[in-house]
Amino acid sequence: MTAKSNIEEKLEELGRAISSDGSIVENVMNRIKAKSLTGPHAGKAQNIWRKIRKTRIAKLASAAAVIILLVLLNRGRDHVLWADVSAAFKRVDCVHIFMRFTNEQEGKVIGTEQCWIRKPNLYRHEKSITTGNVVEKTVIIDNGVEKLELDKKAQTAQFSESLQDILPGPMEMLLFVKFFREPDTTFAGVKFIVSKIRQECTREELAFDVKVLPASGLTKAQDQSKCKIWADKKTLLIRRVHISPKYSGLKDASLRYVFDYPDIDPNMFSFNIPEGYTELPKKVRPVVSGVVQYPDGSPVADAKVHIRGFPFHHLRKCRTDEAGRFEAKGDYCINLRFPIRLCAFPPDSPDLAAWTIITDPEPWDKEDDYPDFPVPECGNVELVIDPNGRAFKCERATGIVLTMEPALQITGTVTDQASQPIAGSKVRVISLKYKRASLGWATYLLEITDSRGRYKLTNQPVCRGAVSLTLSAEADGYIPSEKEVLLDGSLVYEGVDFDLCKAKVGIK
Amino acid sequence: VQSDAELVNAVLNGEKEVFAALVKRYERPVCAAAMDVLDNHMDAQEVAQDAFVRAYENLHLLRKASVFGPWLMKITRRCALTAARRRPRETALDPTNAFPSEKKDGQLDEERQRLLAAVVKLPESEKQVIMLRYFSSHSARDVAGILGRSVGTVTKQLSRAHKRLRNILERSEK
Repeated sequence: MTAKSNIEEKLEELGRAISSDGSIVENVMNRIKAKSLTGPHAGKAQNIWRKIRKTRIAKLASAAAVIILLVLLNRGRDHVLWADVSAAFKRVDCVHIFMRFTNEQEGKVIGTEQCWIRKPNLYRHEKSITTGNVVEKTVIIDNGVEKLELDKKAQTAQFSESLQDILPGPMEMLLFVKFFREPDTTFAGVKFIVSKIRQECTREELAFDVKVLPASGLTKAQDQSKCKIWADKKTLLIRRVHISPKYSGLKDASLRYVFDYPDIDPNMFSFNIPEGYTELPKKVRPVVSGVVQYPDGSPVADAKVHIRGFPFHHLRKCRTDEAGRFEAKGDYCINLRFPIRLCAFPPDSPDLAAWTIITDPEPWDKEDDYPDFPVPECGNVELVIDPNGRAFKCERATGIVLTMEPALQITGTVTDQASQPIAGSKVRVISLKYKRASLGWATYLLEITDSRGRYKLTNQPVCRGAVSLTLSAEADGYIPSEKEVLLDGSLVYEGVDFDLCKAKVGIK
Repeated sequence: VQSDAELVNAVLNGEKEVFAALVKRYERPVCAAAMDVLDNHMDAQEVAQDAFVRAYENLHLLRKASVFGPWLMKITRRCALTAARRRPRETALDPTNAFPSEKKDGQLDEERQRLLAAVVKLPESEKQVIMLRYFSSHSARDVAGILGRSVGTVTKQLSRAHKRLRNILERSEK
């Protein structure tokens, strides 16, 4: 009992020792008031927050909500797509592009190109190439109607028609790869796939990788080329582009674009010919024209005409007018080189087609040419003669007469290995074989199989002298397959069937 | 006597002045807890003020209004430790500290300090009861009202705490 009272006494003594002069209450309350502390926030919101904090489930749910919000915010911040960069580029009025080709091995600058673009259609391009000690410099000014070319070495000036109607725009002409189109679209036989390179993106720059794939999907994977684009993270404007030498076509050289976006003086685009320059006669664009007619000589209106010159992937399409006339203008970039193939397809008869080939009248090497080609009437072909006195391309081909003939019809089915029909697969003619030569003959008349996997290729021109046709079938997720059809003189070929094998993951 | 929970809820509902009652109720226990760490009455009083202000600022974060006491003690201990860390190093090297038996102004003697340390070591429920009963001089009935417990429970906790303290002290004397 005494012990108990002893400890109680000691505690009471201790309590007294920890004396307080009563100033704490006053000081604390003064500090609370002086600081005008928001302190314990009264009110509904606070009570709700307190309730949320009370239960474990509510806590977990709120934590999950916060994480989701952060993920979404983070995704949003990182969500700059190539389409945004492309849109930013399209919004700019003036662009200056500086391009430099350097010899990769020696690091020597072998040429420079500069381009000034002022929207909507002012365009100036300067190119200088050093070969040994000789510097060749050319200037091109194009205002959407006319084009002026100045050659410093030859001291000549030559006007010609603008090319801007052919190409989607001058800037795209310069950037010859059509990077600034929406990603994953197909253009001129190639497909651009642009993807962000996350590990190369910095605080200031975004990095994109551009893959160029043949749209047909028939070319092997190693043929794809690459280029890299860096864009400013804030403005989304392109800062630089690096094209791999493989794609630029320059062996052992690296090609680099550097962009800036200044306001360009409109005087840069004036058509003033410098003193001492000789003006050459106006250049005329290559033209292919003629008529399409039925066997009885009556005109075929609204017929599709496909004109294909070298290189093979370049195709010009046009349609005939009421009198059966057609005219297609070429461009200076891709000339009408031999052989030029023309096909015409009537609008409503699947069993007719017309065709012709304009071959080189003076082939370089008779052995290498296509001696089996029957040469139909070509009308008037004006040739461009090179300095050695040889014709190397067609300048104008007019008066061509395309007469409808009975056409081939090829039918069949496309199935998988389990004999199940594949709907939506694409079937087309890809080449034509002669006794001694083979010719890429993609008529671009593509057939898509129906739900039963059936296809019917019509309007295929009968090419006299040809031994066989090669057809290809392709479908998403399957390995493309080719099949040769031997031509025996008949017009209908049935049962040209394809069995496609499933592709491994990732191959289209 | 109003319980802690009632007072805390009143403050949370906007009656700021009510916080003064809580300060008054806990000023000595808080000072005691601070002294256990700081060993100086003046510093302890400063820390006590800081602890109360911090408690007021964070009152909305208190999950259960009834555990205000233990929560406040935790805040006090943290404030005291921070203050101890901030104290100039010289204090430790102060030659007067070499004679701990000499009682300086504002310091507890060795015996009381031992008792205080023993009180601080008590389980939370018993510590609160002891502090309110002896440091804040409340009757057992009042302590029961403050903590929202029955008088019987408080009395039992008090007697258990006495026994425990006696044991601790006896052990430390040996």
